Amino acid sequence: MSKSVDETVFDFFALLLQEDDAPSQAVSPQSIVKADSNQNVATNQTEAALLDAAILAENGRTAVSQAHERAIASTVQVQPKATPRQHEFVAPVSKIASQVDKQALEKLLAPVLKTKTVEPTPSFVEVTPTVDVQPVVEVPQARPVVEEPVIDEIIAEEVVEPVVVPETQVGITPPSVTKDLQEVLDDEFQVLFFKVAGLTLAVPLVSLGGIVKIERINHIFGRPAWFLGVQTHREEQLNIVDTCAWVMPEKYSEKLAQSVNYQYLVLLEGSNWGLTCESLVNAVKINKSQVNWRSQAGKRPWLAGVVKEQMCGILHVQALVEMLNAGLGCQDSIG
Amino acid sequence: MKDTRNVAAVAASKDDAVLQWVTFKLDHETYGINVMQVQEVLRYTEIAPVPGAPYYVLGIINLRGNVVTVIDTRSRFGLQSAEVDDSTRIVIIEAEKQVIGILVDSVAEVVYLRRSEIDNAPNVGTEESAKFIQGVSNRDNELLILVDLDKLLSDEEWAELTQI
Repeated sequence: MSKSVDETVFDFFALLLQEDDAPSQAVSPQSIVKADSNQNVATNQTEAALLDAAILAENGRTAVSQAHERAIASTVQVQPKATPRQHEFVAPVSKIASQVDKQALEKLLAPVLKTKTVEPTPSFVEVTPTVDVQPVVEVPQARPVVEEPVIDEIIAEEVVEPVVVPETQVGITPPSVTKDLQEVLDDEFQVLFFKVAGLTLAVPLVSLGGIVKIERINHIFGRPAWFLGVQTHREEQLNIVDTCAWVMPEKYSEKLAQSVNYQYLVLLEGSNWGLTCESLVNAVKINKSQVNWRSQAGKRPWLAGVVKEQMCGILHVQALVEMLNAGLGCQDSIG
Repeated sequence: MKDTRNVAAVAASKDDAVLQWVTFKLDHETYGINVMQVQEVLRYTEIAPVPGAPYYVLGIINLRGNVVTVIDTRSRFGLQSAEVDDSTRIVIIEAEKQVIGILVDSVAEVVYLRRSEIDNAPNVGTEESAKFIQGVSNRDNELLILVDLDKLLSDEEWAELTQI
């Protein structure tokens, strides 16, 4: 029954080892040896596995679950004596592993959680909602941007057309050229000839409002160049036309303007317009046939025709008054 | 009957209000401006030119510590410029909530005009300055041209004056 040297030495070391782990327990040497032999193998395996798992958990997260599973599997095999130590190791490792997993999951789910989508299947959920949301936001922005200019163009076209048409009509409106002048005149009628800067003009006496000597002309600014001003006559204001400037503006230079010496106003019947003239020639009776009447209004509706003998123009007073009232010059009527 | 006639006459006189106008001369023509817009009339004093000012601005003067812009009325009315003489005056007016001065050849008097005595100016004006004229009136065989000071400058020009 005596033990060999080897067995004795083995027992001695076994006792030493057992005192450190469980000093209070009193167990028979044989059972201790058998049990400790199994226990030490198991604990060494679990400790190694746990250490590996912990290292792997820190370095890489893929091996954590495997080490964790191994550790759990080994702890299941461990006897109740070793459980306190094993729990001290297992618990922190599992906590670290779970924390790492949670952090990783949180990072992956962060964009998804912001959009308040469903938690599971993070990788797919992340992509699909962002793709879905962006086009939904972009499309309504793009639509009004495209539609608005189209609407503006349509409105602009609608507004411009009616505005332009009346303006051009008003501006171009030619004074009505009358053919009724010949109807008013008798076959024989009197005309007054007067001169302006060497030009002789004739006015039918039926269209003559009177003759007034020029006395004091009040100049009013902001009026056309052919508008000399106003003169008071019998408590009325006569609008004075610079005849030379109105009839032949192309020849009315500064020099000519200084040379003309207006003396009288030839008043136009039915208006307060007066044509300036340098001299009154005479009043004669002429026949309609002596006048080359203009058949068409043409560009100068104020000109009724030409007196053949005197070779001078005869005025169409009604048309002239209409033009003056409209503020039109001789050239303005053209076009 | 007398009462009704009096009432009618009073009503007519109310409609035909009497307005006072300060008259001044410019290029041998007489112009009138509403007396309510005239603050004072100054003799000609040195006008400091303002670089970059609009063509119608002669410059500025110091009126008791206040800077007043002086308008070249002749230029504004499209008239030729003239030399300053003893009768030249600067009329300080208030228009569009601004106090400005207008340079005139001379200041004549204050006249009373009934509204019915004011006629429309000949409506042949095509230039911008045509709108300055409020109306005309015959007085002692002399034509008085009434100027609307508020329209002397456009809104942009009035705003531009504040920047000077």
